[in-house]
Amino acid sequence: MAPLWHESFGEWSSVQRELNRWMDAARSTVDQVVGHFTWPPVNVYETPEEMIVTAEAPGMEIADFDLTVANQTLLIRAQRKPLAPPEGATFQRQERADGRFDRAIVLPGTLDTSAIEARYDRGILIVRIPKTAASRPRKIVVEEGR
Amino acid sequence: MKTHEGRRTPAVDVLDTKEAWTLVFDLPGCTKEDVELTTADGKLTLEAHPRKPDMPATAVIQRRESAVAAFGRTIVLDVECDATRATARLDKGVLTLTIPKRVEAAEEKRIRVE
Repeated sequence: MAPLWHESFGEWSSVQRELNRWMDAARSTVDQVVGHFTWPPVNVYETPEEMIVTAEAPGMEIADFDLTVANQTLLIRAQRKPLAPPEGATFQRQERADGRFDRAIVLPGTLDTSAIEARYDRGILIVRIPKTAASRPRKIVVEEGR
Repeated sequence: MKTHEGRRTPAVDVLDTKEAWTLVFDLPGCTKEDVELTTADGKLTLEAHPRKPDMPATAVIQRRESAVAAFGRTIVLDVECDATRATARLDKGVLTLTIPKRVEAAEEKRIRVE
C-alpha cells in the first residue's frame, strides 16, 4: 500500500491542476477581448532593469496601434486592415487575420509605467517598461562586526 | 538553429486574377535577407529565419505565445504559373509574391481535329 502522504500529495496536485486550468481559461478570456483566437501573439521578457513585451503584428502602420496603460495593465489595441484585393481578384485562401484586436497584459507593481517606450520594427511591436529605482537590484554591503 | 525551437507555418492569403497569382505571407521579424524562395517541380518553397528582437543578454522569458522560430511552407503552384517571372517584396514583416500566369494559358486555343 502506498504511504498516506504520497496519496494525499497526489490528490492535492490534481486540485492544483484543475485550479490552474480554470485560471488559464479565465485569463485567456480577459486577454482576448475580440476574436476567437489570440492575436497578436505576445512574449514577455524580464531583465534586472526592465520588462519587455513583444507582439508579432506584421503589416501594420504605427497609427493602427493604440497603447494605453492604466491600473497596472498594459492594453494593446490594434486595427489590422484587410488586404485590398486588385480589381477582379478572388481569394483562393485567406488565413491572415484582420480586424480589431485587444490584448491586456497585467504588469507587476515593480514597474515605472510613466516611462514606457514603444517601437515597431519588422512587423514586431516592442514595448519596454523600466523597473522603479526601488525594484532594481541593489548590492547590500555587509560590514565588519564591532 | 536549435531543433527544439521547431518550425512555424506562416499564414498566407492567395489571390487569383486573370493575369497573376498573388501570395501574401505573414513573416514577422524578417527582412529580405532572411527569406529564401525557391521553385521546383511545380512547387514553391518558402524558408525564412526571422531575427530575434534586440534583447539584453540578461533577459529571461516570462511568457511565450510565439516561438521565434524559422518559417517554412511549400505550396503547389497552378500549372499556368510562370515562376521565372515571379516578383517578391517584403515590407513590415509581410511578403507579397506575384507569379504571372503564362500568356498562352489565358488565351483561348482551338485544337484542330484531323
